Amino acid sequence: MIKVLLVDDDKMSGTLLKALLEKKEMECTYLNDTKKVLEHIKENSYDIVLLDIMMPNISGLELLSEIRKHHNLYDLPVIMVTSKDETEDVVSALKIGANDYLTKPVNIEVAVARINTQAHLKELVEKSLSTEQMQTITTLMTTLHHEINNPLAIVVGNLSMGAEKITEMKVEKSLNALNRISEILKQIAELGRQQSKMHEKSFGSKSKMYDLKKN
Amino acid sequence: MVGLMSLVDFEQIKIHFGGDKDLIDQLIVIFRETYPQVMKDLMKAIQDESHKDIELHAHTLKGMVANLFCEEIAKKCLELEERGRNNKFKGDELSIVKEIKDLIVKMLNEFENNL
Repeated sequence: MIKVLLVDDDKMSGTLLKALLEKKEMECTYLNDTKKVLEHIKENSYDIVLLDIMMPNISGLELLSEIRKHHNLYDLPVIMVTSKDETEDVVSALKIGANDYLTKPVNIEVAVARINTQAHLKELVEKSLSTEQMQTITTLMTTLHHEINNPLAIVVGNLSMGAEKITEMKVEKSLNALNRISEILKQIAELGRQQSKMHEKSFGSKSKMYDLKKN
Repeated sequence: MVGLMSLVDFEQIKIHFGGDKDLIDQLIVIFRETYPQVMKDLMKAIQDESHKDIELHAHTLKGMVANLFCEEIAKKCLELEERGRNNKFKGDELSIVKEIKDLIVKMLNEFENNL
């Protein structure tokens, strides 16, 4: 079931649209207090936001700007609800980051079609990101396996020397080898850090630590 | 019966609400509860010559009557909204509000007689 947050200062329009969307089996939360919108979005998980443009206190455009500071176009689609004569505002809204718009009085069939389109796009992007995430992890694990395996063989070899007679020359050689390995491991750690940073940029807070002991 | 000079487009109401009388009733109740305050705010904005507030309150009222498919009142609201937006007044704004008030009474009567 698609979860919709509907924001409109006009109780009549809000009540009407909420009722019509619920008839189309959408889960709709209606807010007419613009001050609570950002808090609501933070605390709940919505698939889509329907935002009236002209409202007192804070306009729909200002609210949209605030939403876009935390959510991109695919993460949280926003459809603006406007009057027929608000063309300029529609253009501004699309420039700021609105996904689409609806005109009042809202035709419910048009509204449902546009909501479904945005929800479907959101789902596709999420699926594609998740595939991309898996590919990145696989590549990273293969690289790590290769990069760690070779120095590990040297460490094991040097440790096994403990059973043999250790000469001063052998100790110096081992220390040099271990020093090189520590440099390699540092580079691997740096690579991991960079990958993790890039990952965070692409996928936001969805990136997680991979527990090697567990897996 | 819907008269020839009907303010409300009952055909559109029928299509839009899918014959859901309860929903229409609910909207009329909300309209009755909220429109007097919007009218008051609009009149105050005109008296204070606050063009931004005229635009905002006329816009709100326009949205409310548009939901009830009453084009004639919506047009008058739009006229006030545009005057507010462009800060251009002709001095007859209060009389337009009076006309809107009378038309709303007529509109509500039509709903009572036709639903």
